[in-house]
Amino acid sequence: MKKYILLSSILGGCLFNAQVIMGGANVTSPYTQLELQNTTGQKVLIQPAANNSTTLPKYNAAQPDSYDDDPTMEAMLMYDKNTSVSKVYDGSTWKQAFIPQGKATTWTRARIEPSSVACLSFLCTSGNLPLSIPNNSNQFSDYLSVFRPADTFRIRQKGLYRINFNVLFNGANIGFAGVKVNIAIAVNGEQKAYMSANAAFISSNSFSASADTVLFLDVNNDVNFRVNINTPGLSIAAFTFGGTPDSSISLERIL
Amino acid sequence: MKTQIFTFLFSVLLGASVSSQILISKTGGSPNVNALLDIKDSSRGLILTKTNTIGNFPLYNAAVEDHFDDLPSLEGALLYNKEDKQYYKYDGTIWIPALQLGGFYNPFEARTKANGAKNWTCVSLLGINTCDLTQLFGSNNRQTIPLSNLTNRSQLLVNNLNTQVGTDYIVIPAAGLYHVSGVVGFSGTSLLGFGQDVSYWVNLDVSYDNGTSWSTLAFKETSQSGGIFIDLGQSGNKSASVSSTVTLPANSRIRLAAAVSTSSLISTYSNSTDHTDTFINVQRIR
Repeated sequence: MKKYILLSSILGGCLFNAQVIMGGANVTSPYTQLELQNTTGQKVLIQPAANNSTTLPKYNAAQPDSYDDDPTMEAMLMYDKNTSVSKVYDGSTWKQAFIPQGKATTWTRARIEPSSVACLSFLCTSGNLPLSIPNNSNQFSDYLSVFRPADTFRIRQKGLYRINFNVLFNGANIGFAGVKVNIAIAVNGEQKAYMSANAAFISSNSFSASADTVLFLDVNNDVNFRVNINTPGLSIAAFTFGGTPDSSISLERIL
Repeated sequence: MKTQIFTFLFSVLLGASVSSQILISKTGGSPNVNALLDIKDSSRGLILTKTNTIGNFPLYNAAVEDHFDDLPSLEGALLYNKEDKQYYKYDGTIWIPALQLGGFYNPFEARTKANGAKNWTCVSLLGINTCDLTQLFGSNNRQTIPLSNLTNRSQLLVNNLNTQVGTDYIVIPAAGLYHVSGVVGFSGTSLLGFGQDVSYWVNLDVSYDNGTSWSTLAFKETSQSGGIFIDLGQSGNKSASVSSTVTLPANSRIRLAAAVSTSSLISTYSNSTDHTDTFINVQRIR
């Protein structure tokens, strides 16, 4: 009798798009489409397994990332027997779906793209630092999956984050009188925290600065970085930022 | 299309009638003895449910502390988020990106929040500012912030290091290398100041003799730079922090102190007692 109930619920699932339960009889939550009910952990789901990365669907050696794009196949899971990991297809390529226990990489490092700030006396322009995460870079990665082009980090997990900037900039200035770089961290459009750093003199009209802070951020917080400078003693100044690997913003989740 | 459905149904019937297990396969065979659902295919994958943004996740509720309602029966659920292109897992309380760990379980963390608010006021009279004046005589309006020993999962107030929390200090339980952060959220207003008129001073103090004497472990001054000139300006809580990576002996005490300095006509500030704004975080590195 039980088997019939099970069977009909599966058939029902096919025909009416109802919730499907396997290994039990009762729906325990309204939020599941398919639920494998087994509380002992002795009955599991086995996902399809490919022999290696070249037999995964959409494999195409001619593609730079080895796979054809197909948005309709996004979210597909498959096990790669060669590397012994579950992989997920993200609409363009296959990547590792889950992490080994305790091995999460908890940082994102983005490049600061070229931008500029101009000052007339102590009135300086300001704007969001433009950011990018170049592909196939060992310096820049988005392990926290927070980057949203072209200037925003959208937080996925509530927690405490360490934020650090390093910036190399050039100034069309008339003498160096202790330029200070200020970055205001805007959270959901409101200035929340500030990082200030005295710029170090590198070479002719070239300076660098870095600073860090920690900030508690929430799910779906949008974080932007607004830059301006203090130029004591200068009446007119213009500075260009970023565009080099030296200029970066990093975000590391501590907790 | 028809063939696929028939194949599916046939194998479902087969699986169900034998052992209440489900095998989905074009090539037949039998499900693994430990599989409730066994999908055998070397060239085709499995797609689970997906959604566009975190806001569409089941149990998303921006009104609750951790943004998700609790539902123990849904623990273990998987859902794909198209926005950042990865699966999320539900741990009974929150959805966590598959490539990350839930912070609450971080064994090297202790975070404790403020237990009360302190106030700072600066007044200018005839060009002389009270805060400047006290600084001139070698003092400032620095105050130690009281701490709470409350732990709370949804607020990520954790004490996985088993630190003891006193009224305004925490005790490091074991010698080691630590990354210690002190964060203070300041709210308040200043009137008739120009530009760089507010600076927040945050201290982390340490005591090696059970609180008899204290010294500064780390200090940072955060300027709310160009407040009226950067377009977004003055409103809302401001966060200032100081961090230090340092070796600490067992039983050393850490406390959080703060001061505010402005040169505006009148200013009054207080520290936020919200856990997101004012807290000490201790991370054991080794």
